[in-house]
Formats: sequence, C-alpha cells, structure tokens
Amino acid sequence: MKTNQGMNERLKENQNPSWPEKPSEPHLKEALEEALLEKQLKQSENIELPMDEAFFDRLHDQIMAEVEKTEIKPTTRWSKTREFLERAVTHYRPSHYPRAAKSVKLALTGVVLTLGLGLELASFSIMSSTQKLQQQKQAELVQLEKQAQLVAEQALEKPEEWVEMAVQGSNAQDFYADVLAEKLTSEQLKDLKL
Amino acid sequence: MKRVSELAQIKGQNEKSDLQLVEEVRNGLRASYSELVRRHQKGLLRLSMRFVKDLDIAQDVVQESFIKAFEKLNSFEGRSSFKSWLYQITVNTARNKLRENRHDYSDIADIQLGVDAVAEKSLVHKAVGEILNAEVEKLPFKQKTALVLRVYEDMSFAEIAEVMQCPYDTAKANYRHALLKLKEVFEMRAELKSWSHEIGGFFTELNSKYAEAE
Repeated sequence: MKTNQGMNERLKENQNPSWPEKPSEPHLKEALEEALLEKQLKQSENIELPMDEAFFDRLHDQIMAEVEKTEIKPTTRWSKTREFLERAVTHYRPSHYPRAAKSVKLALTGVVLTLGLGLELASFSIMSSTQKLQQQKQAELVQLEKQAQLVAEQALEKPEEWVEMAVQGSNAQDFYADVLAEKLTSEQLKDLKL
Repeated sequence: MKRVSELAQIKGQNEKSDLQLVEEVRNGLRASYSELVRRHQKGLLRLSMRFVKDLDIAQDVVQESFIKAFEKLNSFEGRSSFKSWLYQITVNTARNKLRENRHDYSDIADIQLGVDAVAEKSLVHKAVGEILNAEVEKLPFKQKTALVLRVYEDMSFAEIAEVMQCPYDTAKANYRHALLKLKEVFEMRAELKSWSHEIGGFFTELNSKYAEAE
C-alpha cells in the first residue's frame, strides 16, 4: 500500500528529527515515549478486515456498477470555487471555533431583530399614511358634495345668474363650458326662463 | 525460479502508474478505473473502518468515495498523488457519515475496564490497547486523522498534509497534540500503572546508557 515516495519521505523525517543533533535527556525521553506509543497503538489495532478475495471482488463489482451509471463532471470556471465551498462546509464545525460561532449567532440574531423591527416600522408608517390619504380623500369628497349641492341649489333658485356666472367663469380652454354656453344662450336658455 | 522472477519483472514494467490510469479514464477508458479500484479498495476500506467502525458503513464510504473521485476526476490536477487525493475524499466522506450516524454510536467514555485485578502481562497489554483505542476515538477529528494516517497508514507528514488539505506544520502539530493527549491519559490512569512502570524501567536503563556514552 505504501508508496515508495512516501516511504522515502518518512525515512528522511526519521533521519532528521525535530530535536537537536546531540539530543538532551528530555528530548530523547520524549522521542522514546512517542515511539513506544506508536508501537503500542499498532499492536492494539482492532480493525478486522475480511481476508477473502471474493469479498473484495464483490465490492469492486458494486463500485464499478455504480461508476458505469456515473459521468465525469466537466470542469467549469466555478469548479474550484465550488470545491472550496464544499471543503469549507465539510471542515467547518462550530465546536472548533466557539468565538466565531458565538459572533455569527449574535450577528444573525441582530440582523433578524433589525429586519423584524424595520419591517414592523415600515408597515406601521405605510398604514398611517394610507389612513391619512383616505381621510383626506373623504374630506375632499364631502367638500365637493357640499359645493355641488350649493351650486345646484343656486342654479335652481336663479338659473339665469348661474348661467351667466358659468359663462363668465369659463375660459378659452374650457371646452365644455363653451359648449354649454353656446347651447344655453340659444334655445335652452328660453326653456330655462320658462 | 528464475522464470518466475522474470515474469514478475515484466509485470512490474507493464504495470501502469496511477496517473497513467487516471489519464486513460479521462480519455474514456473506464476499464482503467477498475484497476484503480482494485489497487486502492483495501486501503480505503481499512481507513474507513478506523473512522466508522462498521463494515457495512465502511463499504458505503468506500463506494461513495470512488464514485465521488470518478465524478471529480477532471478536477484532479496531479499535484498530490492519486492515493492522497483518494484518501482525502474518503476521510471527508467518512466524516460526513459519522455526522449522519452520530446518534447511533455508544458513548466511548462509558466503557469501563476492570484491569486492576489482572496480573497477567499479556492481559495488561490487551487492556492498555483497549484503553488506547478508546482514547483515540475521543480525539478531535483532525488529530485522529493525523494519528491514523501516521501510525496505521505509515504516511509521511507531507502526505498527511495533502490528505488533510492543510500545511505541513499543521499536520505535524495535529499528530503531536494527539500523542500528547494520549500520553497525558497514560500518566493519569491508574490502570496503566504497570505498563508505565515498564516504560519507566526502560527509560532509566536507556538514560543510564546515554549517560555512560556521554
């Protein structure tokens, strides 16, 4: 299993240990303890793998059957970014970064609270402005109705004056007023006089 | 006999490297991937078993890792060895599997070992091994990975750094921390007294020899 390159690297590491050329007693003791621990760990290995080739043949066939259904993904310009993000997600554990996790939690809570409050304030201001607009419109309508009623009453009382007033009050752009004046001055004015 | 060695030599010459096989797979030869699977499946299964401790789950991890590797084959740049890249995928897959099945595992801290009354040396060693394994399980994932790759897979720190996708010094530091934690456990636990004595004697002898040489 071990590659030659890896073995060579490991041999080099053993030949050039991290302690000085003339090792002091604590260094030597430390190295020996580590070596003994490594040895003990190897001895206490409790992994039992199936030894029969048939098992590995089956595993190989299963893997290859799945591989047959799979396609190699083409590389895109986002592949590296995606891999980086995947790796970050795989390696991130909040328990390893308690401070960061706490700050992220606080920041998120702050954002949520601000957003909530902001939305509530915005909806309140929108509601109040809508109500004001409605009230204004209602007031205007009432006023217009009153005016219309007043004008109607005046017109009924003194139609001639009203017609004159309407004609005088109109300007060149007031098309309807012109039309009305034209019509009223001719035939309908006689009817109204009746 | 000579004939057998000649055949082995010819076979060795004909054997393609992982990188050559990867290139063939990229060029559409799926059969070459079969060879890669045959080469690495045992190693990957052993590695997965060390993390997930269950043969069925370990098989799933291996299968998933090979499929992921196949899918991402175009993103393998060949900066590290194919084996390191494959191990890297397997470690990440095993880690995800552990997260998925976290609640299924018993708490290792609950394991009690009654070795006080055991006088036999071999039994002491067996108990020590069990305690060691239990303590290895308690290590943080990165430290455990560094320890597993170094001790059981016999990898260099450069290779461990490749698998763990971290700088060389970080890989080394993770391994050191793992060893230090295990050593602390040995110093603290009474069950290991006899073994510690054994080491103590060994150290005394070595120290005196070192002093004599000085």
